[in-house]
Formats: sequence, structure tokens, C-alpha cells
Amino acid sequence: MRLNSTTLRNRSDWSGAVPIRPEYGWKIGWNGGSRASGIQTVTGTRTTHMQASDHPYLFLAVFLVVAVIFPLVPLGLARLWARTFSPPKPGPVKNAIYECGVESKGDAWIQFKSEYYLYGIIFLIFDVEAIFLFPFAVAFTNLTIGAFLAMMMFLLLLVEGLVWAWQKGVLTWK
Amino acid sequence: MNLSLSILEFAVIGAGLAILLADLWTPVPQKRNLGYAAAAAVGLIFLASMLMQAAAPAYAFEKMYVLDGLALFFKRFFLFAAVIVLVMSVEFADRIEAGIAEYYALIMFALAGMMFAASANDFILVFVSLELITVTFYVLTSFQRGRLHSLEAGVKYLILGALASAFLVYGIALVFGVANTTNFGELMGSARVASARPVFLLGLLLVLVGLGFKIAAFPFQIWAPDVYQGSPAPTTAFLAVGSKAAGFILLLRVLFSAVPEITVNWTKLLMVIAGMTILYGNLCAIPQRNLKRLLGYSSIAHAGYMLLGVAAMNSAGSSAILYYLGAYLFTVLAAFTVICVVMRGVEGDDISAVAGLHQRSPLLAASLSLAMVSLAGIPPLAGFFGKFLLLKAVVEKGATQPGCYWLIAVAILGVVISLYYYLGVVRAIYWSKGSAELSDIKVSWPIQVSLYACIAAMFYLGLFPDRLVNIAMEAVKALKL
Repeated sequence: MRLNSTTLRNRSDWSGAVPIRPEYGWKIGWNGGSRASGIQTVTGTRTTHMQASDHPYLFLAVFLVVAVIFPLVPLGLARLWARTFSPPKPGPVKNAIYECGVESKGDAWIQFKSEYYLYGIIFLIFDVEAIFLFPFAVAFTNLTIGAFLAMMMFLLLLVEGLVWAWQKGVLTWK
Repeated sequence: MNLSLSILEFAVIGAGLAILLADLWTPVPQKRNLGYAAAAAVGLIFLASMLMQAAAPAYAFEKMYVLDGLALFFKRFFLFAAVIVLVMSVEFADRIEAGIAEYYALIMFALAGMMFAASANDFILVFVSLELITVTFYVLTSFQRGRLHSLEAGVKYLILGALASAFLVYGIALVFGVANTTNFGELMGSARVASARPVFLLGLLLVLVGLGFKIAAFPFQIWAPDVYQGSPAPTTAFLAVGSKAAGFILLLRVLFSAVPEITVNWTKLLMVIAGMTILYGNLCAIPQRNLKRLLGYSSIAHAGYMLLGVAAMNSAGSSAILYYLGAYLFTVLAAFTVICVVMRGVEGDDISAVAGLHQRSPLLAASLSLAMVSLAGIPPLAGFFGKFLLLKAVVEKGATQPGCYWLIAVAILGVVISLYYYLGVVRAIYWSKGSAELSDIKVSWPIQVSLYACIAAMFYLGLFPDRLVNIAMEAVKALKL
């Protein structure tokens, strides 16, 4: 309940639409606390002893009923609570898409420069190349000539791509 | 490891890289002519492939790669197709805003992928070569960046192609999970045991989905008309010929050299797919006004005809597929070469653009008409004999599988339907009234040469089919039929 009251106060704080004095929130919190303790005394109920011979799946049905009631009761209570103590008061500022920091200006649908993906691709290719080069370097002394030539071929293909991209002006920042 | 077996592929890749590098130091007006250099290089590699022999199958890359008669047949097929497509793309060069040299290079890289696919003897190589083909085609289809249709085609191909690749990989993973191998030779040994597991069959079905997408067979054909319509004409030609043939060689290899025991049980499935593909392609082609879209639907129908040969499951059927592909190569390339020349500055590739073509350029008119007649399957052209061989193979199968006679009926129905729209194009060329444009069309000599070559080949294959039939019969001995 204390948590409830503080969140309530905080919400009224950041909304800014309805200035509420902090002590008001405190008062609600204390009232709620006393009510809740009153309810708690009621909830103690008699537990019936359930025999397994009644029905093997009876406990499943009981589980189901409890599983439905258990969340519904606090939800209903919270609903009642909200209706009584914090009626909705929408306003332009309260409904604003605002999280924190500076308020955003303009549309989020802007055009990005897509040319950057070329850098991304070239980076990725050489990243993958490096992964292949590590085992090659570790096993280098035991490799055959064929394996060495195959690796050189691989490097040559990538270098060819780099030369092509470079010459095409992909690496020039515009 | 026997690297010398894949010398043709390495030569193609090397030539492609050389074109890319040569582009950097070529002045802008000359860049277009790099295509002739590329075509010459691929042509030389084609001639070199004629010197190669593959009497006994030879393996490389730990049996992932096989060089046998079948692989060599398809390598020559792809190389020849690429030469004509490259000549065509030089003609198309002025309609591509930037990066024409990259266009040539990408065609050559796709060609390398197709040639690797021809030699695939392992699911890993199947996947890698298919990806090499498909990824390059994503770029090739959307190469006219300024045209919305081209971009649309690229995006559609990308999304559906990625989906098909996902199916393929998932299928390969399931197959590997059960059989513990991806190699076709080892799979054949373990397929009998593994076929008891439903997961293995599911994996093979998923692989079939991935390959069905490549050949545009019935439930996976949705992409074909849109992509064919939107892509630049040379890309469409290469897609119709190269990519489809690559799908078929992989299909043949998977069905008849990896899991022949299981394929036998799939006759009905393949028959249904073949019949539906034929009907779908032919029926949907009827209302088309866009020539490229019409050829897209017709290519679906032709995939259906070739699936007849797969469903026949005998060596006559498989060799008929090879023959049919050979005929289809010249026919489709002739048609697209004409489209490439005629449709300059025509928006929408409408059939009306070929109206009065016989007055503007008799050669183009004759080429397109002969291509249409050959596609329809009228003697004495190559397309007729291909269909005849396929139907003959299915009739042979009919002795054991009475359902085959229904399939033949469907195929003949498809041929009759197709006469309508193919001859509609011929009618538009010669007998349409009130064509607006009647100026002469200049045809450059390389285009003339390739058109004459295609026409000669159409007649030669139709009149003297025995030579190619023998080669095809020899090639399919590599399959376990």
C-alpha cells in the first residue's frame, strides 16, 4: 500500500496537469493501509479436507478455480481503488509521448544515408577473413603447399573485392 | 583432391573476376564492349569443354564433385547459353543505368554456380551451388534500379527464393540427421535402411520443394510470371534457360543417383505435379498480353513437360529431358533475343509491339515466329521432337502404370491449348492491322549471328535429332535408372 501511494504521488508529480500536494498522497496511503489490514482478517477461510478417493482430478478443478480467483480478486480490488481514488483526468500534457529527457521534435520517419551499409559489408567480409586466418596461422607450420595456395587464393579473392570497391569510390566519404 | 576436374568452373570465375577488374580501368564509353570480351572468353571455355572427355566418372573434393557424361553435357549447355545471354546483354546495355560490367560479371558467376550444380554429388555442393545461382540472380533481376517492375521482381524473387532455400536446407538437415551423410554415393547405400524413417522421407520432400521452386513446378510456381516480367530481358532469358536447367540436373541427380529406391515410390506424386504444372502454365498463359509474362507462364508449362520425363523414371525419359532442354535452349534464347531488340523503349512489353515486325526486320520476325512454333511443338522444329520423346517415354511407362495414359492426355491437352497463345504471337507479327511503328530495326552483327545460330539449331535438332539423342542417352548412363 505504501508502494501504491508513492507511485500515485509520483504519477501526479510527473503528469504535471493536476498539482497535488505530497501530504495528500500520504493521507490516502494511510487510509488504504488501514482498510487493507481490515480485509486481511476476513480472508482466513476454512479448509476442507480433500480425499484422494473422491476423484483423482478433483484437485485440478480446485486448482483451476483458485487460479482464476487468485488474480481476479486483487485486480478487481485495484480497479475499485482506482475508480474511487484516482479517476482518469486525461490532458494534452498527460497524454504526451514522454519518457524522460528533452522532448522530441519533428517526425521519427527520416531518411538515413544507406551508403553506410557498404562499409558494413566490407567490414564483415574482412571480419570473416580474420576468423579463417587464425586457424591458418596456428596450423601454419604443418600445412601442405596445397593448403597454403588455397588460402592465398581465398585472400586474393577478397583483395580483388577490396580493390574493386576502393576503385569504385566506396571508401570515399561523401 | 583433383582440382583439374573443375578447371572449367575456375576458368569461368577467373574470367568473371578479370571482367570486374578490367571495368575499373576501362573508359565509360567502352564499358559496354566488355560484354563481347566476356562472351568471347566464355565461348573459348565452351570450345575447351568440347575437348574434355568423361568416359568414367571422376571425383574431386572428397567425392562432393563428380565429372561424368551428364555433368559435361550440362556444363556445355550452360556455357553456350551464357554466350548468347552475354551477347544479348550487350544489346541491352543502354537500358541499364550503371554497372554494366558488373552485370556481365554476375552472369558469369551465376554460370559458375550452374556448372558446379551440374557436378553436384553431395547435398552440401547442391546447396552452395544453388545459393551461388540464386544470390546472383537476386541482383540480376533487380538490376534496372530505376524501374519499379524490376525492383518488384527482385524483391519477390528474394523473399520466395529465401523461403525455398530454407526448405531445402531444412530438408538436407533432416536427411543428414537420419542417414548421417550428405554424399549421394553413400546415401544410396543407406537409403533402403533410412527410408523406413518418416523423417528421412520428410527431408527428401523438403529438398524436392526447394528444387521445385527452381524449376517453377506447380505448387511453387507463383514467383515465375512476376519475376520473368519485371527482370531485364537477358536476366529473364538466363533464368528461363540456365536456372531451370540447373534445377533439373539437380532434380535428376537427387532422385536418380542419391535415392533411386525411394523415388520409385513417388511416381504418382511426380505424375500429379507434372500434370498440374502443364495445365497451370498453359491455362494461365492464355489471357497474357505481356510477352515476357507469357513466356513466364509458358516456361512453367515446359517445366511440366520435362517433369513428364522425370515421372517416366526410365532412361528414355531422362534422356528426353536432356534433349528437350537442348531444344528449349535455342528456342527460348532466340525468343528473348528478339524481345531484347524489339522492346527497346516499349513500356509493358505488350504483344502489340511486335505488330508488323516482318516489315521492320524480317530476321527478327522469322526468329520469333520460329521460336513460338518450336515452343508450341510443331514439326519439323526442335520442340516437336522433344515433346515426342517425352511422350514416348511416358507411354513406355504406361505398361506398368495405367495412370500414365491420363497424364499423356493432359500433356496433349496442354499442347493444344498452347497452340492458341503461341500462334497468337505469330499472328500479331504477320497479320495485325494498324501497327503504329514501321521504321526499320537495325540488328547488330553479333545478334544476327546468335539468331542465325539459334534458327539453324532449331531446324537441325528437329530434322536430325539422332545425334543429340545419342549424346543424351550416353549422358544419362551416369544415373541409376
